[in-house]
Amino acid sequence: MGKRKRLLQEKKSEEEEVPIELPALPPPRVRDSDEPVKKKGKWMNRKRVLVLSARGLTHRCRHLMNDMRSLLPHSKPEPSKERKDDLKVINEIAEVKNCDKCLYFESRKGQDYYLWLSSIQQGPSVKFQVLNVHTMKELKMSGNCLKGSRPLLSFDDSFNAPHWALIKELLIQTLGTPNHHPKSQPFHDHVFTFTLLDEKIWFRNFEIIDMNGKLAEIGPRFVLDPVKIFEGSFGGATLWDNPNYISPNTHRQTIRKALGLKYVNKTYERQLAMKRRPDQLVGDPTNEIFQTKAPEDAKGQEKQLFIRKKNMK
Amino acid sequence: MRDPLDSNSFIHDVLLFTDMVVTSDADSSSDIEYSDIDEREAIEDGIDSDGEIQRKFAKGEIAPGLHGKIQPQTPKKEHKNNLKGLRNKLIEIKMDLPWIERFDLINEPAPMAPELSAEIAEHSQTKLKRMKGQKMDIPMADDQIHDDFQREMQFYRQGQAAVMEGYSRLTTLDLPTNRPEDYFAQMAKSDEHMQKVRRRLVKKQIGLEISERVKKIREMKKYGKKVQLEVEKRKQQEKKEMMTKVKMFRKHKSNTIDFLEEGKNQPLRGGGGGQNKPQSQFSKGKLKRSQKDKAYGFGGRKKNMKRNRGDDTWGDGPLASKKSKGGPMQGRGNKNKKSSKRGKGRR
Repeated sequence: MGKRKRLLQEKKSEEEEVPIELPALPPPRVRDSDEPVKKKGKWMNRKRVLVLSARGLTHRCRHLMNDMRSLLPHSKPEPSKERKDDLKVINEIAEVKNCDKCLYFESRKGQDYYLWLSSIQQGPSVKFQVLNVHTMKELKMSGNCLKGSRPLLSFDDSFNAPHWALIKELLIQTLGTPNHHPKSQPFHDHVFTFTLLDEKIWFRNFEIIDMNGKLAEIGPRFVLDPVKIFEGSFGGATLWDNPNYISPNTHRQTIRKALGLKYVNKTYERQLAMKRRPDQLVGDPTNEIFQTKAPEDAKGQEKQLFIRKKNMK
Repeated sequence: MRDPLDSNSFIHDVLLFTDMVVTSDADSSSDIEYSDIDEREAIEDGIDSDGEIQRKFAKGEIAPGLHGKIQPQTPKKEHKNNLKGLRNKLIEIKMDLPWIERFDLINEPAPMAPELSAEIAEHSQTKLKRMKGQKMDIPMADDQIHDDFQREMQFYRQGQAAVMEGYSRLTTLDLPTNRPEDYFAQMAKSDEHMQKVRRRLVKKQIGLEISERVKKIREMKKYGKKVQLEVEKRKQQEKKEMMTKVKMFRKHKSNTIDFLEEGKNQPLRGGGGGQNKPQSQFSKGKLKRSQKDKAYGFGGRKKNMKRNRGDDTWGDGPLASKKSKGGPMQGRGNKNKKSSKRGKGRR
């Protein structure tokens, strides 16, 4: 009994020792939903992005376009454009739709995807080839985010060359959701990352699961290989073109040629082998000795050449 | 085929090689073609006569077999890079907006978590092994773009760094950051889709578990086989020793038959080598006996055991069917069979 009492006393003294003053806590990062929603501020940046495509888009590219639409609450849809129409038509459409930026998807030969990123009024515009497309519908992307929440835009620190800086600025202006956009959500739960690797821009979209930096990928993911930068919107003088860019057609051509060369080399080798082969096979003259007749076929004098062993039985 | 005395012959040779690589024509028609090209080449290079060639050869300017493959020269494309224009354009489109409107960040990948670095090391090892298996020799350093795991990890870490920086900035601006659990609004992906994702994850998890279990069982089997082999070996050795001892005794080289007594006590089967464990062994033997008795029968009537019965002969009774199946045998029929199998001497 005495022991227990002593323990209780010790406990009490410990409790008393705890300082009552707590350090000033930072305001809670996570807001409770019971709190009244703050009144929305003024919607200053009223930019809109026109998202459209050429006709005959492949399914994958179409999904990618729809993903972009769902991720950008400030986007405006538009029915797909006829392919034969001039690209300049898009400028007019955008003006009618009150848009000052444009994402234009295009697919060629059902396998190569292109994306135009353009600032409508004064330019510039960039043409990208889109590679390695994975859409949000894919099941391996396990993240999810609010529809219309504003993304953080994270860039690699290597966007320094003038063309990269220009592309970066365009990306920020188009893909960033304006503050206080009516369709946007008050929370920030996803990040777009842009990384320069192999002279291409790699795009990823992550959900922020907790403050410690646990992420889950939402999708879509794709790689942008810039082809050209034009001064104007969908046209104008070329400001920059990519020296490393190989068009998919030439790429395929080189592969095919390499395969063709394999065949040429093979036939050439075969011809050489034919030439090297002698017309008549001339062997050792003493080989005649071994060209004998079977004892069954022997006739007359030849029979004496062969002495057959008698069967022992 | 060709005139060996022809002074042009080595050039001929060279051209033959180069042209064959590119064209691969039929042999008969190509001979004429070569001579054509030969002449053209000669004119182009300014080689008119044999003397010229000989002189050049003496100088060492030309030699047989020095000519490589002719590569078609494509005009070099000039690439535009209007730095001034690019900079002007950037200034032109740049809008003076506070960070809260733009939300752009510049991040290097965040430092790696220790468990992640361990995982990466493991991954690189397995990858190296796999590459060795496939006989691919791509250095790991060049493989940054092609190694999915490492590349994605880089993006992930960049995202982490962005979250750290962005959230600290948001808190200073007194803005809400993460979405609370009880905040319901339309999501980018529908609930149905998320259900699908979850189902897939569960499936994957189960698959992993199963494969792991199978791996474990396989390993255990391997170990069991090893043990079994060892035991069998030992058994055989013991038997051999015994036989040699018996032989010695027969040949009057040894006088004792103590080893037989020992053998009774010694575990001949499945036991530890020289250690005597008579009691446990005995109980084991007893157990075996009782099991055998259960299987083949013990005691009972022995009279008329070896006589044939109708159902035995004709093979349509229930016993016959049991026999044919090779199932557990019981009763008299089996005993008969067993005795008939063995030779007289061995009985």
